Amino acid sequence: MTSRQQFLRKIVYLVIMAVLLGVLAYLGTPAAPSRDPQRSSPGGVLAQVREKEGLTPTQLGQLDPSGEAIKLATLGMRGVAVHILWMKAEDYKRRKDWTNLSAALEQMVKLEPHFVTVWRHQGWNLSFNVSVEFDDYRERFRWVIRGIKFLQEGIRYNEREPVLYGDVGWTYGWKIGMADESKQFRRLFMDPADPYEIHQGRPPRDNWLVGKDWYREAERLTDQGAILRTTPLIFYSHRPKFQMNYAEAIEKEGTFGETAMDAWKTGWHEFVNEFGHRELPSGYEDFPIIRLYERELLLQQARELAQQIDELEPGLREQLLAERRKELTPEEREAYDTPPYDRTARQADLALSAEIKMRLTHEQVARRIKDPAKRKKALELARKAMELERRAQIVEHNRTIVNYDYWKRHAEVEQQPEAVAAREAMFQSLEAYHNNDHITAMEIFLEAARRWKKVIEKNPDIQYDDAFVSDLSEITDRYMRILDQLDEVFPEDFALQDIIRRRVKRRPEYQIAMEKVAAAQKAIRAGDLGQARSNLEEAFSRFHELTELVKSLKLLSDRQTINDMMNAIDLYDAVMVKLGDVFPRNFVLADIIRIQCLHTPELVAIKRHAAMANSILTAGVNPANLAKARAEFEQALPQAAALLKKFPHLARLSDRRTATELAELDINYNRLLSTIGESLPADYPLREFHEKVVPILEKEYSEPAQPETQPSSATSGSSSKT
Amino acid sequence: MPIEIELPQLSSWIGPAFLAWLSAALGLITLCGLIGFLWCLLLYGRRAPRRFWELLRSGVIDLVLVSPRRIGALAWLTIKEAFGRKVTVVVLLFCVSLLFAGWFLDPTSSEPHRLYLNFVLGTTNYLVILLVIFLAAFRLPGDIQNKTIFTVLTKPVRTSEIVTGQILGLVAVGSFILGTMWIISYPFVVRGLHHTHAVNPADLRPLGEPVTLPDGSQGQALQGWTDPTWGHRHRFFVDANGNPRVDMERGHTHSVRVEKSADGKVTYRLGGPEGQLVARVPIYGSLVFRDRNGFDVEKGISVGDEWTYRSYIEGASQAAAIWTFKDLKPDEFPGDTIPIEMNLGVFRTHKGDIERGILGSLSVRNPENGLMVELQVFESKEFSILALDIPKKITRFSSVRVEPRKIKHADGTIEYVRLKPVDPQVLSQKEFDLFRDFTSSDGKIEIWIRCLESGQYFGMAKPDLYIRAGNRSFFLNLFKGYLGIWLQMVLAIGFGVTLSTFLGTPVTLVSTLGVTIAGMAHQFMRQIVTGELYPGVETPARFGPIESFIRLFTQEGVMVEIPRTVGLMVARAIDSVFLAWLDLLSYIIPPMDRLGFIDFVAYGYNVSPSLLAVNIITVAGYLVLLIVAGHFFLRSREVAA
Repeated sequence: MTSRQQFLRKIVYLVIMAVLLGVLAYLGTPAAPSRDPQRSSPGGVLAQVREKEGLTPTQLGQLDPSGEAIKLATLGMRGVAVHILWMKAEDYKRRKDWTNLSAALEQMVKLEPHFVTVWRHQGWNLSFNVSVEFDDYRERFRWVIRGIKFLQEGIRYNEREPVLYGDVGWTYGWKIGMADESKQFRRLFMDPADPYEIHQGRPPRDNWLVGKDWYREAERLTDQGAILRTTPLIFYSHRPKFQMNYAEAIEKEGTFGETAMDAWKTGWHEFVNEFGHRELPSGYEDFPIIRLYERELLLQQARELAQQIDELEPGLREQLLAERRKELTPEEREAYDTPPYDRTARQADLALSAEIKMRLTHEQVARRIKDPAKRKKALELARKAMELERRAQIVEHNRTIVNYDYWKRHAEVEQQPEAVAAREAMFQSLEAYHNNDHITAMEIFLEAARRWKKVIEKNPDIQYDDAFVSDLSEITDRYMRILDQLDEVFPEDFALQDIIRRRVKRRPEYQIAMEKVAAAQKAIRAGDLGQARSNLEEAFSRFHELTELVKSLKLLSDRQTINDMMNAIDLYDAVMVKLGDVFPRNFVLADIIRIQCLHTPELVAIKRHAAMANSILTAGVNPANLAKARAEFEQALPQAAALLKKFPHLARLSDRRTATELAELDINYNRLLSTIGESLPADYPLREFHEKVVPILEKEYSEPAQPETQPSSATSGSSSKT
Repeated sequence: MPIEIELPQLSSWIGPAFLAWLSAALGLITLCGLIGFLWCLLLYGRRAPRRFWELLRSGVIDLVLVSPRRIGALAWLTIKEAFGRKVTVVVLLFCVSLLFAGWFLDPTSSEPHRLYLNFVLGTTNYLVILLVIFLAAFRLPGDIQNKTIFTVLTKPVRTSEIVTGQILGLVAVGSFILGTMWIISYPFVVRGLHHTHAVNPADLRPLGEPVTLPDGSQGQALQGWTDPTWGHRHRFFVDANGNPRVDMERGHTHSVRVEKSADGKVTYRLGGPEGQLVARVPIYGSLVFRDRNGFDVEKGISVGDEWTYRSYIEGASQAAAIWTFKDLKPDEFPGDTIPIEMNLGVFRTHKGDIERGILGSLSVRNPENGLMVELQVFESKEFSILALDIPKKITRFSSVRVEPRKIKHADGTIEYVRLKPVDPQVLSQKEFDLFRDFTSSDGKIEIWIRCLESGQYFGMAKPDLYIRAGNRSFFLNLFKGYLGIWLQMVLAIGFGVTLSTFLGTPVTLVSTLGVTIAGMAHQFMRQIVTGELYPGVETPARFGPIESFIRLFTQEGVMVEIPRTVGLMVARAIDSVFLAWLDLLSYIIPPMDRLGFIDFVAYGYNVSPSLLAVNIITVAGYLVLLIVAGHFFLRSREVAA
């Protein structure tokens, strides 16, 4: 290579360098703001884009000299350093080295102060994952607050990130208000001494309200144009829901009256009037922006248009519907006519298929109008009505995502004085229970149930709301404890029976059990006793599962369901009589029979007389005592006969504990007679029981207890799978 | 402090370690001799045996007949050159890093002392090691390249003296820098952690009812909080007599002085933090577990924690954790009690009563005759040290009994540990003497920990319970922390100087850096070789670099079995060679990560003389071999020249 070539090459290099530097300057020249507009420079393309998109460090949040120093010290290896720190943080967490974990997080966020995901992930990590590693709830709380403070620190550097504000609000609300330790957490949160420095000198406030304030701040930012990096529908629903959670929390802790009602009213207002009226992206291209409140309005407008179509040819719609109805099978028709809440699982399927067949669009109606002019008008009306219905459908879909209808109705009902009074009674009942005043607890609970009934009478629709029914039914299950402590059962006029009945009827266990009972009846009519037995045993297994799910049934909370069970037992008893067999030893519904027997006056009298007779005989066996004991036994015997008449299946050992008590009465009476040298009287009321049942029981007790699979191995197998 | 590897005891370590060192040294010498002989064969042909013998003989003589005076002179020369190269800049750099440390160290952290100590010791470690590696890498190759080495070699100086002098000189320079850093860092840590709190007497609330004092006056106990400083505040109590007390928070408390003004107004003045910068002297025992059926087992239950450092015992069952301590003597523990400290993990399977910790019991047992008493019931405290005292004269106790220990063998047979008979009268004693009644004739005593609540678990590892035999000076412990860095530095210098005897500057630099990094990650290297990447968690297979790459690329985790294709088999075959090479390397490269004591100092535990001696001997063992190797390498280079 000659020196000239070398020289030329150098020149080319220099030119290329100059061009590249020019491009670099055009793109990357930093902005030079100045108070004097003449002297200020907007900088290169990148600087201008940053400024326009609000991405300059000063626009994002506060500047941190230490973070900038660390960034420089990493010599452009910031990404690598953050990755290493992230891995180290994970390792420290695994090794439960909390001090170093905190230090690693501090360093990480100094390197990446504007990387929002780091703040969000690690803030959540501290509050939700690290906190639960501690056994002491005070330490847990400390780490929850540490996570919140970490997020607040993130906000300092990212002032226009609504999601960070939302995360702070979320943690204040859910982590403190809904954790297992929420009682303790809320107590610490509202400690006037504020040992965790949460309130910064201000008086402590409820955690839900503090969380709500953070969401309000996030909403203010988004309203000002800040980018919301999450689903708006869910994000905006949090603030009003927090208000309702606040109302629930204060009621749980014993605040009622105007305060509670106002809290619910505010919740309703914020949910319906603010959130419901907010413009939200729908997720659909045809109607991209919706408001949740407008569904009813849209449907009303659609109905009006449909009415206009119907007026063009009166009776046409009814005629078309009648035509379609004819095409339904009888079963589908029955299912279609049954109110949705009362449908069985099978009926629900049939009703769905019937609804599809019965579906009649406005356009279909319009097309069948005979007069062409009217038809044209009807088609136009139909198009508008269907558009409105489509929009309503999209609103409905979005409503489902945030459970809009439930929360709206929940807040409407809970703000009523009757509902607040019912909740207050339930709280007082629980308080009395905790103070070991069980009788007062039971009385107040029954009063609470009556108050709930009033609420239902005022708002009949809520009894068809699954969530509400489930909620009340679970509360009833919890209050079983009170009755259990008092050896009581639910009164026959228990106010919430209907609610429990609704829940029971919705359960597939109940529906299958009733189907099996029906099948058993059919088999009995056909003379197939084995099949009937098998069906009934399957039904009992389902009933038993039902009592495990709806525990209050064990204390007879819903007499109708108990009657269903008792009818099935009577049927089984009839089968047993025909087969000459007795109930299996571990009959799964024995407890249901037992609890009823225990609350009959007959068994109470039998127990009393038998106990008296035994105590007399224990005092000494002499003619006078024998005579007294005999008198006691002879008072008990008619009661036993009456009990057997009331529960004839006891003679087939449907409840072995009660049957054994009767057998003991029989044996002791017989023993007494033989002691005084007498034989059984001719009119002995328990003669049949004495001759047929007592020997079976004696035989069973003389045999070692054997494990028995009942009702049948196939049944238990299927139930375990269930 | 979690200690995941067994700490060696000098008495039991020295014998096997010396044998291992001797065999490694002989192996290395034999290998080097063989290579040298082959080289001589190449260079000298038939004259090779004679020439090899002459070289070997003179080499050994050079090695043995070294002159301390000449070594001193060479070391001094090295020191002067190092200072000529402005090594003191490193101290300046250290001071600058301390000046800006406040930006990054968070005093509101739960254990700020650990952060501060980790920072000063960590910074020192990196700076000093980097400095000496650079010095060692540039020193000898620079001399050889500039031919200045001949000014030394023309003098009557032996090569072994050059190598030793270089190493000693650099060690002296490093020691000076480290010493300076130690002196500077102590006030930095103490001053950095210093803080105090104020107490407003008006904010104190009455605690309980007023009581009548012996002088007839009324006294009222008070409680409240100090003001917040560095993200924490302390609970503050004043008893009925007016004596104040500050609760422990974040590992420290404060002394309190009461000042009364003329008008009777009381002011509480709090001093600086106490209890943070300590050097506890722990006596560790051995740990075995007892399962729920009462059989001795090596490990407790796993509760599914990814970190298997601790294993767990079940509450309200026969399960227990049994620590056995040896050679305890009454005069080692002044006072009436033996203090023990523990740090137990807690695992709840149900919420239980969350207002308090889980209850556990502490018992002592004589391993010789099985005599056992329960001393106290305690409430668990997780992630903090729970201090308890075992009285020497035991007057308060429960459940005196003879507790047998049994083992269930794999074949189902049960073996009971033989016990000496206990005098039945002992069981009805009202008082026991810890050393007389519960210490066996060979000086052993057992401490049993049980969890008392059903469905709850205690987790523990061997270092989680120890007897605290007093405190040592924190200043000296910090010195030991620096001594650990010094040992790492000595090894880095040794490798640097030895490698520089036959490699050029850049290669020496990279090689020494490589050895040092590998040494610092020695445990990790062993974990890769053994397949235990997480301590206690066995990965399904030992993955080499190729399979790891495949898994990275296909996004398959380590626990996932991937299809055994031919490609995978080939990859695994190549990986096995890599792993064998790594295995060999892990024996050659010194375990530099074990030489440091940063965690001991930061967690507040005294570095035991035994551990210190083990580490010093380890470094000395490496250094001797490095000097020998360096000497022969330099001689061979001289010969080649």
